[in-house]
Amino acid sequence: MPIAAYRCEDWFSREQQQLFSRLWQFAAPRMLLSTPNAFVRRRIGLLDVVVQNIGGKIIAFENVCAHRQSPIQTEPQGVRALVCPYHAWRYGAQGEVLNIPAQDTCYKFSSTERSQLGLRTFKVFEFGQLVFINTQAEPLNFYEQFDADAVQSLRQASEIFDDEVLVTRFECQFNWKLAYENLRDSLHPQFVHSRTVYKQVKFEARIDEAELSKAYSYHRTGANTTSEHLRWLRSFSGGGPNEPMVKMPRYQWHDYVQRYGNDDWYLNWLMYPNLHIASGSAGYSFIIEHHVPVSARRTDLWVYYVTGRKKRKYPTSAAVLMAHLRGAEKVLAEDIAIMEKVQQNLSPDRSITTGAFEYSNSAIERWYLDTMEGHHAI
Amino acid sequence: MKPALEVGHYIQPEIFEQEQARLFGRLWIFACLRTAIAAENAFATRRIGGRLVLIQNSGGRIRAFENSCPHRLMPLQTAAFGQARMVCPYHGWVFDSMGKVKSIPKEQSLYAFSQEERDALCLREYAVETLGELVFVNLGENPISITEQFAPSLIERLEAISSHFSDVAVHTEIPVRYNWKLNFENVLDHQHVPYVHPRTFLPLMRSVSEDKARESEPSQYPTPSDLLIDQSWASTSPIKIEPWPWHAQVDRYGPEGTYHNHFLFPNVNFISVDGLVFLIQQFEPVSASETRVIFTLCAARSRVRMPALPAILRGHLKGEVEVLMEDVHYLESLQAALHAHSPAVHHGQYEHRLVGFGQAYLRWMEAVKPC
Amino acid sequence: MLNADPRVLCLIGCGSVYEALIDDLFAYGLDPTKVLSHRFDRVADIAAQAELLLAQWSPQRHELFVAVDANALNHARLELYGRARLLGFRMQTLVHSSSIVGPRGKLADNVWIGPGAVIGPSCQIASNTLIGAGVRLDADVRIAAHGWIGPGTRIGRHARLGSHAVLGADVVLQEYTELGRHVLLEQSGPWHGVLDSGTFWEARARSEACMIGPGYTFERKAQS
Repeated sequence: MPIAAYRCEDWFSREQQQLFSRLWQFAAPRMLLSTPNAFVRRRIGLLDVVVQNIGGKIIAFENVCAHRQSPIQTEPQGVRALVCPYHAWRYGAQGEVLNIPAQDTCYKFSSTERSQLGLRTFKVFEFGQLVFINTQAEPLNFYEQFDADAVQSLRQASEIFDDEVLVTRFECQFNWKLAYENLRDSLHPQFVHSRTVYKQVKFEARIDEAELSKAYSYHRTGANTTSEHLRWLRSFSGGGPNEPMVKMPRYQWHDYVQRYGNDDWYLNWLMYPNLHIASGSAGYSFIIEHHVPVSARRTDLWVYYVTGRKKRKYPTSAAVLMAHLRGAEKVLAEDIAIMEKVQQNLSPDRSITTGAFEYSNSAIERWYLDTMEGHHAI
Repeated sequence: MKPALEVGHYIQPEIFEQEQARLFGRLWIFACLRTAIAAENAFATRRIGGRLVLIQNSGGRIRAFENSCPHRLMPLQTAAFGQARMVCPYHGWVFDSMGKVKSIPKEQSLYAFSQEERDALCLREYAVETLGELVFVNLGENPISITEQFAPSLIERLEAISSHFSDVAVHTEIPVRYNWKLNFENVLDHQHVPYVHPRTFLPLMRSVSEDKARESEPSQYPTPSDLLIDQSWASTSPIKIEPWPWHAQVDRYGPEGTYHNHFLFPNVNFISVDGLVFLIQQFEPVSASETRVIFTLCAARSRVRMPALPAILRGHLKGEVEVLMEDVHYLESLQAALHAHSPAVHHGQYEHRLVGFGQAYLRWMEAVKPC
Repeated sequence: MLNADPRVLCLIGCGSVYEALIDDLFAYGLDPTKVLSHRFDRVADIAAQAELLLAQWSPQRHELFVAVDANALNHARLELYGRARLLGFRMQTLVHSSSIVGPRGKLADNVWIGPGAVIGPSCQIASNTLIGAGVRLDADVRIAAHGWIGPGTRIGRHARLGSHAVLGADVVLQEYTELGRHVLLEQSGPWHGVLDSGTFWEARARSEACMIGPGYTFERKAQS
């Protein structure tokens, strides 16, 4: 992978165009959109995107008013009608303009002009409690990007996510791809997280020889057909039970919430390109990590914490989520520190050597470079 | 209505550079109030069209020079306002009131200029026009007449209203993160007031009767004009403000209950609240996505001494800045979201002034000066 | 120390300082039976009612204290104080018993020192300046007339503040700081050096505002 992929803004723009704008991307957890007019606003590459619940339907649109390009929602999330704050133009569930105050006295749009006014909307796909969007006019089928069976367990797990969500954002000074190479590397925890999560979960780097040789061969030659190309894409997403927990910690609140599964295993899912969901409590609570690329060297890490659905309300539920965050922050800080150093050290005269245990990253690298060069248009 | 301008005009650095040369380098640009430099050797400094300009009150006249010593280009003054003879701080060169070099310390022993060289040493001078208390500068080599930019009736109005200005004013420069044109378009557009300024500005306009408010919208809007002279104009509207004792002590301009609004192409909005308070807002371009909003606010001239005048001016400025910050909140958000493929703008008929502004802007952005 | 003077104190004004005084007269050494008070409903009423109010009292029998907060459009504070002085009234100086005023300090008329304030040695506070609760002035600070120093503000030694100074709450001025006339600082600083007359730093402002014109950016010509 050329170093420019991690540092160069032109590469970043091209990546947005070739990759992100064509793939289904995670936008927000559905629990944040459960009441009418609830919305989430995120910057996705160069686009300012809002996902909003309009009369029960989830719509996604470019957050730019058709009048004078003012952002319609200014907060990162909240509950607010779909009305532009600048001149109060009101929009409906198809992004159409429902009302323009003073249309007859001031604007005087003809009916043809009026019919052309609307928001640029994007396709939405809901998967369990996860909302994905695609900014292409004719996007690929969701199941061409994700294998339904491979992500079945994630769908089921997300269906028990509780409505109380803790949301936070970390501003990181590294390219988003470093985060995913890090997440797909199961060797680093014993070194980087020896004092934190590695104590609870003994992550191991396992090498499946058959998979390894397939990956290397693909890395050398690429795919022959578009359907093979998409097959490889699907192979990058999946997950479920990852490693057994060394010792399963038990807390009072476990009794108040539903649990996904019954085994005391660390759960881990990856949805390509930039969604990671895990459970360090063996199914009682979950972290959603969404690495949103901001520029070549900057990434916003949006973190959501939820427990399983509450069986009954209990007064310390918010504190439980805060405690999760505090624990996770230690681990994240360890990863972020390393990735920021790696980012700083990347320079054109260096190159990266991947080890055998990182074979999945090799396959992704091949797929990524082929997509960036426009082979097998999606 | 389709807009005249495209998103590139609000985000490209090349467009910004072109504006500096072709618009700000060739039009009459507001520089300062005459009251702020109303004494011998009082001065103001500005950045216009990418150049540093020194506006100096010298020999009884207001003159504008390039703020750059002919020796080694050091600026003569760096403060925004002040009072000082024209002397370069670097090597002590002294200038006369017309900008010619009068004396140079140790001239013969250190410099030994030829007579020809010496005669040519002077500050580069720019054209100045004063409309009442408003001082304008034109950087162009063959500047257009100011009456080509501002109609005589508008000039008369500016002279009349500014004759009421108090001798002191309050001045501030607020850095904002959006293209200057967004703010000029914003002040040209009255429709946003009820939504962006519901608690600050709207109540002043609303307190007028509903009938009067409805009357103000015409049944038919004119088609946009791209002529330079049409881009600067004045209007009045009804307003009701709370009376304060100091109002009775000053020389109000115009009839009571009037809000005066003047637009001066390319980047000045000058308003007066009831002829008692006057505010000049200028949107100074800093880069494609940054602007300095320059506020100069004064009161009507007083018949008696007003020891509390600074507090009064400061109070009004605070209110005006509050209104501006409501706009800034949205405009900074808007600018941050602009990109090469942003969705298009759609103007309503009432925005004909914005379209005209864009059209005139485009004509002046061409290399050849429009006639 | 109770007020031994047979003259009655008329406490007039509105706002936080007025209320603080009314609630705590004993702490200022005042006998409530010898205090008359008049609270204005609004600052705007002061100018209209001042004349009438002052007419009912006489400088021989009444002393005054004018307690009006600093407020953007409030020049009523100046007008009321000015009017009262012109009519010959003596204005008291009110210092809360919990505050500490160091030796060789000079407090002029109509000065208020709020609870818990610490005024260092050799400080000079001129007429009609109000010093809020918990303010700390280090040694040799001089504050001119008509000032307002918000609660918790700290002023370093040898600082000089010109007339009509307005400092918000918790503002910090370092030693030797000099403020011209009509300087307003609502941002906490720390401030140092010289601040020209007519400089305003509002609480949330991105930049300063300055007075321009005669007496500020150029010298006022002498009146002929």
